[in-house]
Amino acid sequence: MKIRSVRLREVGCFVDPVKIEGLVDGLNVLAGPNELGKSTIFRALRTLFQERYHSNNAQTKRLRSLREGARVGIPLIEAEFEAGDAVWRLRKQFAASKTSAHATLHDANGGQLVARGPEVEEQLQALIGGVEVGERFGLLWAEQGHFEPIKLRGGQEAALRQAIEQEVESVAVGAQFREVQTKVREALAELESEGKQRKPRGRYKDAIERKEELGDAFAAAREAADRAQQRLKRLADLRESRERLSAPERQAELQHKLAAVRSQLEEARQSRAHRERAELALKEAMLNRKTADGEFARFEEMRATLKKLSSEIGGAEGQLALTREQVAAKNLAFAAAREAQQEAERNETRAREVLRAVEEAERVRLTKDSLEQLRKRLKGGNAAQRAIDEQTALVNKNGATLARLKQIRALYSEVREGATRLAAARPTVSVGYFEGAEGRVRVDGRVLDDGETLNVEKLTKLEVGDVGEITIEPGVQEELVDDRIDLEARQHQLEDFLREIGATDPAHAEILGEERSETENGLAQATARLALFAPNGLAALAQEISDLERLHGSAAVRDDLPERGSAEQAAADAQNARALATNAIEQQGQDLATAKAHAAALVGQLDGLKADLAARRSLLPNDAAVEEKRRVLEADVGRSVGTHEEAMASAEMWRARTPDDSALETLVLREKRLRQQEENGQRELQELEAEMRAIEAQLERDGDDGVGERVGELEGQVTQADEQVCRYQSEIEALRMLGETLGDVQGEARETYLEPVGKRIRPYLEMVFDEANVDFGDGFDVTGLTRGARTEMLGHLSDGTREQIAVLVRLGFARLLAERGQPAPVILDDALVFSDDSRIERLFDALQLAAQSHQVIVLTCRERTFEMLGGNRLHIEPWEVGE
Amino acid sequence: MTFRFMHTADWQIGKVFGGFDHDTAGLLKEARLGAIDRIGDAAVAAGARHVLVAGDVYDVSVPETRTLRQPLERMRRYEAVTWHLLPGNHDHLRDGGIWDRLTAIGLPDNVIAHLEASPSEIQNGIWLLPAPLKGRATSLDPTAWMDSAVTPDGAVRIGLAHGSVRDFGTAGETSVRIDPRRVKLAGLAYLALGDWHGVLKISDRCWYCGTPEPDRWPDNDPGHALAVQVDGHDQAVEVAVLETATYRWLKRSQRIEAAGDLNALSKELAGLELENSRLMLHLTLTGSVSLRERAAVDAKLEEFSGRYRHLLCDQAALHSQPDSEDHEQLAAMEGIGTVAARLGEIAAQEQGAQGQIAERALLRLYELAVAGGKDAER
Repeated sequence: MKIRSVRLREVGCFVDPVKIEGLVDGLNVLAGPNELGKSTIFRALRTLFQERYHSNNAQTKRLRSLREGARVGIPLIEAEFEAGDAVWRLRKQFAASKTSAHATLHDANGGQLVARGPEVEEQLQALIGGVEVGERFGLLWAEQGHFEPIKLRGGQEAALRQAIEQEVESVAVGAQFREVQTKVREALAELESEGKQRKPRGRYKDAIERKEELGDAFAAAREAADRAQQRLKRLADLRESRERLSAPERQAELQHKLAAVRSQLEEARQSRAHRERAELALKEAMLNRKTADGEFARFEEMRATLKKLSSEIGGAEGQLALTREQVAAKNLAFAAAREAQQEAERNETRAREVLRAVEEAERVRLTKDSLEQLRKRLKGGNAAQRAIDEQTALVNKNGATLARLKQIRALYSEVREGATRLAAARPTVSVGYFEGAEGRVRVDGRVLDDGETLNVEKLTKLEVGDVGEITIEPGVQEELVDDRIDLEARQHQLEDFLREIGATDPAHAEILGEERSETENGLAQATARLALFAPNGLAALAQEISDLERLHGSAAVRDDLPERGSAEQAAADAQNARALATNAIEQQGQDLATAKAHAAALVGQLDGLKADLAARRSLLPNDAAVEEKRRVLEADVGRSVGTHEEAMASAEMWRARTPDDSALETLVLREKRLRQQEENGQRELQELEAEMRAIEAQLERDGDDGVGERVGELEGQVTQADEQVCRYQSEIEALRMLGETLGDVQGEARETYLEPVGKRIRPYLEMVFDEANVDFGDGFDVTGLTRGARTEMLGHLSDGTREQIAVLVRLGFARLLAERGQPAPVILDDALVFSDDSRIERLFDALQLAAQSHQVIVLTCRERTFEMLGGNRLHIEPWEVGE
Repeated sequence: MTFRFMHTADWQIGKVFGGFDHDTAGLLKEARLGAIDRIGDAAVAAGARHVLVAGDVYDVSVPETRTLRQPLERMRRYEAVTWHLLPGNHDHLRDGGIWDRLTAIGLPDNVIAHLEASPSEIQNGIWLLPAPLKGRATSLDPTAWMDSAVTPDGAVRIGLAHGSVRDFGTAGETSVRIDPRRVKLAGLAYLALGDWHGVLKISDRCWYCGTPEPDRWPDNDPGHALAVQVDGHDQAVEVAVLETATYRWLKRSQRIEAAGDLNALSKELAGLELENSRLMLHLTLTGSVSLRERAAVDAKLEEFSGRYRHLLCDQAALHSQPDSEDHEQLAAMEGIGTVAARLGEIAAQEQGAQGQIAERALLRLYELAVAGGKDAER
């Protein structure tokens, strides 16, 4: 089918009738500015072929022109097209009312009316294909900005399929296939969620939950059953324990043991009471015996005391008489001692007076000797003082002190060193005479000896006899000038020092130094002597002599005195004698006092004894009474001894028969242990029975709950639920495999099915994109572009690329239709607005290529750019409707 | 001296049937109680005044009290019959256990629980030597004491025990061993044994009576009680096997190639003169059927399921493979044929789980595409 012309009236912006004629088989271009009405023409053509003339939908309403005054016109569209071998003129007036809407189809060549009204749509369908009116064309039309994925309507897809199926022998999947696929998906969706994380749902989920619930219930029942079994076991154990505890032989044995130990204990306690009583009796007997013994002993003691007192009184009286005699003797001795002491004191006084006289005489003698010594020391001191004076004068005269000598020595050494150094720097002249010429050389009138060396210090002239004069002038050496000046200064200072001490040269100075040193030594010795003789000075010594002479110069010395040693001995002896006498009198005094005290004590003792005796005699006045008392007491003692021995025998017997504390404690503990054993047994028995009752009650409840049967019942149900889950799992696995296989087959089929389309699109794609291919989805919608190994989703591509793909895919579809004998025009309404200059030229090439196969109609506002496209240029012209 | 009695065992009252639907489980449970009536009726009919129950009266060690009472009430009704009960391995004697509970409840006058291993004269000159079990398993022969059990001269000694006289292997119900020479050693006129669920004659004087009501698809011969007549301790014993089962547990294996193959089985079962509602059918199907036939087989099995009391069908060894007609049907649908071919290929090549899944997927494809889709659960 090819469009030859199109005419409009009251369509959109075209209120007045316009026409476009002269469309050719190949490429047709209508270029013009915006608002020229290109999109109106596009929509008009689409409506003409796609919509029924009486349609009153948005598409047809949109066509209505807007006249001035808002009056709405009735759109009239007419087109001539070539289909089959004829050219047809189709006219439709679109209106809401049936009276205004009409359609006609004429044979354009002959002008005959072929159809009118509804028949037009049928005829049109027959002429342009076995699908819904015009859908095939809509498939190929690209509108401005509409480059989203191609969504085919049923008829459009059918048209393409029809074309493809003419080419592909085995068509892939059909409606039944999809129906099965849908059912599989639905069946799976009933059992599990979609996506990667497939989760059970619906009946499958219910089955799993039931299985889990039953599993839990089964586990709980099993646990309850196990507990019941444990209770049964525990009950058996308890019964066994109860039997053991309540066994008669066990009870009898325990009671027998208890009775035996209690009997032993009672016997032991009775024995113990007997023993205690025997012990008490023994104690009492012992006490009685002790009392009787005591009484007797006291009696005997009293008897002895009486005897002793009588004896003691006799003794004391004798002793008192003796003591009184001793006191008298002591009094005499004391008086004699007093006399001796007085004599000794007088002797001592005399001896002391003699000693003092001896000491005085001795002191006078010593003072005289001392005066002589002092006078000798004064004499020596005076001589020493004179020597000091002489030596001091000599020292003062000699200035060669050690310090000065040190200075002279240092200067002399420096002068010598300086002279030597200067001499070394000066020329020397040595003389050696030939034989016979000795003494012919003179200097300053002096003959130089053979071999003498002369150090030339200044301008010197040597006279050589009979020869002449030799003048030697030492050169001036600047570096020695300072040395010479320094040497001269030192020589001057040396000479000053020598002059100062009166020395002619350094050797003389040394001699003077030695003389001074000797004088100083003499002075020191004299000074030492003076200090020895008069340490405090000569004046003090003289004063001391004067004082002694004044004190003792006139004292006389006695001749009748003994030697000092004898006098001292006599004095000491007298002192000792007096001390002995003193001691003797003190001793005598003490002895006398002692004797007196002893006598007094004896008197007191004697009085006491006599009083005691008198008191005791009041109880036992005579021997008969004593003897009577003795007999009575002896009888008491005899009785108490008998009673005591009996008590001892009894106590001993009970001690032997009574168990000791340890044995009794053992019996008590044993009784306690057996009693506790009995009590514990009873308590344990009660506890056992209580626990048994509780377990039996629980077992009864278990029985009421049917624990055992419940386990069996649930076990079967768990098995059933498990089998059910397995069945669902099996079903899911089968459905998954079926679904995957369906998907695989569908994918492969799609590739085969789309190959005819791809084959037609590929040449156009390669003209615009290098080595590119488009990817299709389930239908014919483009999902992406593959360039080389890279696939890009359509939505990720640029607007320009997407609009280019939209155009190229339509060219491919059109080529397929054309090659399958169903040519249809491709109409592009400003469908290439985003393409850059480079791409658009390639697209122009593609459009030119496409125009070789089918009609292409391009509507564009880009007049200058599309000049490069070439093709048949179209124009809008006024249309005389009557034409 | 003729002594007639019924020999029964393994009632296992209270057994639950968790693997069955609720209704069936209830009926099976009830049937076990019904067996007591049938045994009582048989005793009355045979002129037997005693029923010896050789252990396992109850199934679990802690049954519901109601469960405990139910058989007592059944037995109580047969006043002319004395029921002698023996603890077996399922209901062994233990403190606080079933027998204590029964004692506490109070046994009917015509019911005696033999809880001690000691002889008792149950009828003039007839001495019963019971061997109650005190545990699920024991290494000691519980009947050993019978050898030295003292009974009057000329007494007819009848042993009552629960255990195994043969090495029954895994089929054995207990770990209790009984010396097979016990009859001779203890001078027994008859040894009534329980434990083995089928009727089994060990010797003329030693029998297993089996359970009166089967509870599974057994390989032995359950569902009976024995009517025994003893004419003296050294006289021959007459034993008659009586049917007591309400339900018939039938096990069949069928190789099929088409659903029609199940018709033969249907006819066979119809010929059993057994109410369908009393038939417990365990069917194992093997072979290979087309997808189309598989649907028909499923339909047939649904029919069976409704017809019989219970149907357990093991189809693990029944394979579904598309035949040419199946292929034709599937290939007629765009793309479906290809999918079917691929699944068929996996099913044929993969021996394990993948193969089974593929077979199932193929079947589902057929159901969804051709049969219009059926319940996913089937």
